[in-house]
Amino acid sequence: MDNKRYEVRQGFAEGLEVLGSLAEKDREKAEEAIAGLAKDPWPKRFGAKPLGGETVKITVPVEDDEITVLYDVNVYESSVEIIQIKRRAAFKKAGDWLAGLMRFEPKGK
Amino acid sequence: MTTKASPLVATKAFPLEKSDIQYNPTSEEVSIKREKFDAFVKYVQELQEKLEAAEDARDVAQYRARKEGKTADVLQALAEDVFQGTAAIRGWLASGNSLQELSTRTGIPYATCHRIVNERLGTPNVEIGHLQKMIAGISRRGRAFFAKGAAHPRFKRVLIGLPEGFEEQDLVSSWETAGSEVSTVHAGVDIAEKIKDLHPNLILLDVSMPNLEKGGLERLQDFAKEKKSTIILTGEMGLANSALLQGSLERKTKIEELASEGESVGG
Repeated sequence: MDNKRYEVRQGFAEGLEVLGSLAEKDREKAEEAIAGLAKDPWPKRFGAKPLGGETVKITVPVEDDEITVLYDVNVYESSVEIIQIKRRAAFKKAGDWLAGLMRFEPKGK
Repeated sequence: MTTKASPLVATKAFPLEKSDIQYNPTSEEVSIKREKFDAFVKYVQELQEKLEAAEDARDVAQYRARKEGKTADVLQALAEDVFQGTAAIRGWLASGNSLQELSTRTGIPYATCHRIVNERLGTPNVEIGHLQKMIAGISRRGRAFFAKGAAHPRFKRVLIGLPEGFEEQDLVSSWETAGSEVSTVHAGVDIAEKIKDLHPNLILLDVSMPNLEKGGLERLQDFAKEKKSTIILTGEMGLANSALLQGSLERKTKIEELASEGESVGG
């Protein structure tokens, strides 16, 4: 991580309404995570994952769900452009179910 | 006990042998080899990841399309009319924004912005940083035409065409300080004479200048071709008080011709 600050832009972002639909505590958490990209555009804390090119994805855990934020990082312009904010409910549910299957131990073992 | 493969999971992507699954019709219990079960779970997990990645890719693609659409809108707006474009760019830069900022905000690549500024303002041979300063210095009628510091020593002889009433001293001093020989003209009919005397390699011309008639405009174009000069047309479209000139400016092609001629002969 470098010491410079990145300008976080949301001019073309989709899904901003998702933030408004969250409980106050969760919304603050998600907003803080987004604002935090100004200091660290690849936060390990939120599992920053490069998706190819300049695009990065983070996942912010909230109550009973996870919020996915997709964004572009331009290191030359020191900017972070938010692409999409969305709930991850369906994938989280499937992931949890599969994780449960992975831990499955047959009776009698 | 009967053993048969399950048709549900026996796919190409996840092949199962008959012996992998056992079914007991008496107890109606199905059993699967642990190894196959783990492989199956892993397979579904990978499928989920692929689905999520595909959804993310779709969102990113839609975002790019949105951004491109916006870019196309702005480019279209700039292309509609040379003066609209000029005003838009000038507005951006005069507000203290850099060309980089214009690029970032509109989504237009920097190189394209550079090209548009050059094409639309017809100043291909002025360094872009200097152009920004110059444009930022453009003010409205009744105030200085360009601010101090706009001048550039590259242009040895400068002809400034302004309507009467413009405060031109700052502009003239600025160019003189930069080492240019400056001459001013306040009416279109005098332009030819001044050109003949000065042989300027830069003409800053406000469109609201009186008597800038067809002949004057054509002479300017001829002059640009012949003398390898650059013409910067500026000012407010609405202030163009020559009906003929205004008519010319409204025809985009004419202005583009003028700009491209300026570009081709600029030196």
